[in-house]
Order: sequence, then structure tokens, then C-alpha cells
Amino acid sequence: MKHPLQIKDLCIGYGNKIIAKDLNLHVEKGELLCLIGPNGAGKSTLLKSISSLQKKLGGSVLLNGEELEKMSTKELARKISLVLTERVDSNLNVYSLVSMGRYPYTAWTGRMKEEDKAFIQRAIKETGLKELASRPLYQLSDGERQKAMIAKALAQDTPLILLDEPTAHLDIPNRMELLSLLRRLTRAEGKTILLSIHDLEAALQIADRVWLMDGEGKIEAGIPEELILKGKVQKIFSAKDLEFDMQVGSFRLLQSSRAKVFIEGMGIGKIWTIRALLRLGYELTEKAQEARFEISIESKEDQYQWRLIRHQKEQEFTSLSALLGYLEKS
Amino acid sequence: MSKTDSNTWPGLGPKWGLILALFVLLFVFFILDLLLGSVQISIGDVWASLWGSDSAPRVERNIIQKIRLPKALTAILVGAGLSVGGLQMQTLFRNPLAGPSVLGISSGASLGVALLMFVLGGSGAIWGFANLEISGSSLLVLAASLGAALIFFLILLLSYRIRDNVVLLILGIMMGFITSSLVSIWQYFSDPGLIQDYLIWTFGSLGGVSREKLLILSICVGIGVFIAFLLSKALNMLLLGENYARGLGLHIQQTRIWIILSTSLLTGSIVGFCGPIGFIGIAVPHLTRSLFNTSDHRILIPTSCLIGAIIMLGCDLIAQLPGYSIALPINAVTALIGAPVVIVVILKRRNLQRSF
Repeated sequence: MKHPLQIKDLCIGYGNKIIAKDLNLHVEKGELLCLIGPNGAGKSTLLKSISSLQKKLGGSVLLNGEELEKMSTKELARKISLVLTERVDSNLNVYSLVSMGRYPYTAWTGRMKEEDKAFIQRAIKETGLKELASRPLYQLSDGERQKAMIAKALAQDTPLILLDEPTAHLDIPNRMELLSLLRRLTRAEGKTILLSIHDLEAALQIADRVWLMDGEGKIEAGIPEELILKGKVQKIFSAKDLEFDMQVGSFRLLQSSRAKVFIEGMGIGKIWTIRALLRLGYELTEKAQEARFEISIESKEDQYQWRLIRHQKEQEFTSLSALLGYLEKS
Repeated sequence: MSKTDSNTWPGLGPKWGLILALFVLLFVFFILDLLLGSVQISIGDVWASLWGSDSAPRVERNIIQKIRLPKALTAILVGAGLSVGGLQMQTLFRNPLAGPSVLGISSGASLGVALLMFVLGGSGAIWGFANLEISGSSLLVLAASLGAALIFFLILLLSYRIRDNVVLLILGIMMGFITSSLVSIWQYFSDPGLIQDYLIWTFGSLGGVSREKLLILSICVGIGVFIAFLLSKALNMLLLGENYARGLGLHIQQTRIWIILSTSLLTGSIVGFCGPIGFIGIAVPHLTRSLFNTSDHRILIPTSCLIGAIIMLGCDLIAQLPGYSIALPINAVTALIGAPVVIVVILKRRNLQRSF
């Protein structure tokens, strides 16, 4: 079975400095694979070495079983398309940018055939940029610009798309929109996508598989949930004052405990009350007798009510901020 | 795909109406350039001499055929060549202020010329500039081209080490200072006659190109522009930055070398024949981009040739100071025209990086 991308004994780095060696990994056809790891682990270097933007120090990269090194740059451009971190701020409009994706297929004049035009227009529609087709790049928001680069990559019609930190400058809605676009491309278009990303939570939600790169140049591959259950994610991203919450799947700041709280109630109201208390440094307890105080949450006609029980005294609050404010003062 | 649907997509073609208008303007300026000068010649005589007919008086015919026609053609070649050279520099460095003269390439050509004069200085009387024969001028062009290429290669070597374009630009300017100081040293020890020849050369002149030299110049400019045109697609890809360009299948190293070759040939030959003519190389590409509102080099290269030629003819018209028998140095006029163009484009765009 030939994989769209396979790396064998790959060694990457700069000059004498080896960042990672003996890498043996592969990407399955049609999967969305996220490369995650702490800053400076070498994610960009790995992607650049795979796409031969940077010289690898050893080993080999195979595309569908073919040695990448033996391909010309033009052949390679028909196999891998790239979305990079550098910002392209230009008067080029979206349509012209996407049309450059067809350059590996055109003669030196760059003349577009009907087939090329169809590819360009489809890529623009696919990424939802039809309305912006004649807009110059410098007028686009970061999210739109990133989508335009993805449209360019789509027009390039390569089986494999590599993206280096495509979500870096995006806010959460844009980030999730972009990632779900990529996911759709793997499902609907059969593209194989490898992207580096430092937003761990998003990666764990969206990736079919993950390459987890640690600071020492080791890469662990697997489905996200398995890597968490094995404790790999927690280990690599461990830091002082930071704890990976296995329940929620996200990181939490650790603070020295102020007091133990027992919470009664259920549903959404309870979850967000817990978050607020944790943020302020309170600790939860399962046993009521251990707790310094008790909070019970009730909801009446979409309105929440909090009852604080402390030293056998009861007090009612109609908003979370009032409760927290009272706790902070006393 | 239906016809109506394809109409909703932005077209990639140039503005043909504008191109036609520019051709008309070029023609008008060309005729005006032949018509105006210290000697009054009627349009009928100009037309007749242009087609080699004997109906015009001999003196007039000689003025048109031996002086004004070569000068007008030189203006067209110089305008087109410098504009294309500047365009390539701006795209390669992705720097809006790049151009042959800013990066010290013209100074390199000057150094080449100064060195040549130094070597031939012993026989200065024979090799006086005004009466250089065709062999001499080929030497001059060669010296200017080699000088330009030398500086360009230095800039290019530095550009591999330095990613920051502003730093590179400053280095280019420094390189210009170094070559100028070498030229000053040469001047300090040189014969006053030679210095004067050199000074006059630096003022720039479209008039020193005879018909024979015109052939060499047009071959050099023709090859330079042709290479640039073949590079259109590559230059487009460079707009996205080197990494994206490589990802689209561009061979960066080869492309850089071809751009150097083309620009050195253009700048070197033009500076050699006409002196270091400034500002056209910076101003025309900006003007063209803003007139055609495109970044596509397949459109930009031919159209900046056109606009460059028009502006150079215009500068020559101004330099002749119609009605007077004296002419201004062409270099002074190009700066007077070019600097305001750059200022206007900057004020209009606010951010030149976005004009690419």
C-alpha cells in the first residue's frame, strides 16, 4: 500500500544543528493530520523539509512511493501544494492569486485553458470566496486571506496539501471555520491534508490523526484521544501552573487552593459556576463535610439562582457576579 | 460552464482602450520630438525625410535622419529598457523603491566607464568621449555593463544572506557611495579634459547615439526586454514570495540569474550609451501598475515599455526647451518628472507594498 506521503529515516535541521532524526511516519490517503508540538519543536522545519523548501539532512520523503528528491520543482508543484505563514500583501486580486495555482500546468506564457478556468472557479466557490473574487488581497481580513491561499492550493490540484500554522492569526470562529473547511476537503474532495497548528484543543477536535512532536525531536503518531489516554499530550505540553483537564480536554491554570467548595445542582449552570470558581482558585470537593462552604444552583424559568451556605447561614444570589463578588469580599 | 456565468468572474486581460490611447500618445510624442528643435522644420519635410524621400531640403533631411530620428528612437529604447529593468528589480526585491539607480547598479556602470577612461586615459585625446567610434562605444557599453553586473552580483550575493529588503536597499545605496568615491578618487588624479568628458556623460544624453550605435543599443534593449517578457510568469510567482513561488514550481536560482542578466544588460547598455539616467526605472513601474491596476507582469512588461517610452520622449521634448537653441541635461528633466510621480503614487496608495 502506497501512502500519499511517507517519510523514511528523515533527519531535519539547519546546517550542523539536528532538530529531529530517524523520523519514520506516513500520512493516510484522505486524512486530516495535525502536527502539534510546543513552540520551537521544529514543526515548520519538518513541513519545509517535506516540501523541500529546506534541505533535509538525511533520509527520504516518498510521495505515493516516488522519491521526492528525483522530481523536478515543476513535477513537485503538481504533487504538493503549500499554504505558508508568510503574509502576502498585494494588489493581486483573489482570482489572480488562485489562477497562479494553475501555473504548474501552463506553458511559459501562463495562458489559461478552459479546464484551468474551471479549476480556478471551483476552488473559489469551494472556499466561499465567490463574492470576493475581484477584491485585492490587501483588503482581505486574515481569515479571508488564508482561505484565498487555500483556494490557490486547491486550484493547484495536488493530492497532498501542506499548511503551516494556517490558523495562527485567526480568532476562534474563523479558526474553526477554516479547520472545518479543511476537514470538508478531505471528505468531499479526497484531499490529504497535513497541517501544523499550535492550537491544541482545536487540533484534538478536528484531526483524524495527530503527529505529536516533543521538544527533543521525537514524534508520536496516533489518533488524538489515544495520545491523551496514554498521557503523551499532557507530558509534552506540561508546564508549571498548567494542568491538562482530562475531562474537558483543555488546559487549565493551576493556582494554589483558596478553599474547598461543595457544589450542588446540575446542567449548564453548574458547569460555568465551576469554571468561575476554578478561575478564582477555589478547589472542588466531593464531600460536603470537607467543604468550607456549599453552593447550590437552581434554575427557574431560564433564570439561575445561587444559594450560598456557610457557617449554617444561607444567602441567595441572582447573578454569578454577585456571588463571586461576595465571596471575594469575605 | 455557461457564458453568462463566466462573465461574473473578474477578467485577467489588460485595458485595451488604454493601451490604444497610449499608442496614440506615443505616436504624437514621437512626431513632436521630430518636429521640435532648434531648427524649424515643417511637418511635410519631417514626414518626407522619415520615409527617405528626396523632396525635403538636404540640410533638413540630414537633421531629421541623422540627429532627430536616432534621438527619438533612443528615447524610446531608453524609456522602455529602464522601465522594464526597474520593474524587475522592484518585483525581485519586493521593494517599491528598488530600481537600477537606487541599488547602485548605475553607479557600477559609472565605475566601469570611469575605469575604462582611466585605462585609456593615456591616449585621452584619441579616445575623447564625444567622438568615440563604434568600436570605442562597444568598449564603453561593455565596461558599463560589466560595472553594472559586478554591483548587481554583489547585491545578489548579499541578498542570499540578508532577507530584509530594507537592509539590502541600504547596502545598495552604500555600494553606490563606495563606487562614487572610487570615481572621485579617479577624478582627483585625472586630466581636467577627461573629467569634463565624464561629467558630461553623467548628465545623460540621448543625442550621442548614432545610427550604428542605435543598432547595438536596440539589440541590447531588445534582448533584455525579451528575457524579461519570458520571465513574466516567474515574476508573477515572485510576488507571492520565494517560498510560495518555489511551491508553484519556480526554480528560484535560475530565475534570479536571468533577472540579473536582463537588468544588467538593460541598465548597462543604456547607461553606457546615454549616461546614468535616473528615476525612469523607479517611477514608470509604479505609474503603470496604478494606471492598469494590475500586478500581472504579462501586462506590466509591455505596458511599462510603452509608458516608459512616452515619458522619455516627453522628457526629451521638455529638455529641448522648445523655442530655445539650448537643451537641458536629460537627467535633470527625468528627475523633475519622475520624483513627483513617485510622490503622487505614494500619497495615493499610502502603502507602496500593496501596489505590487
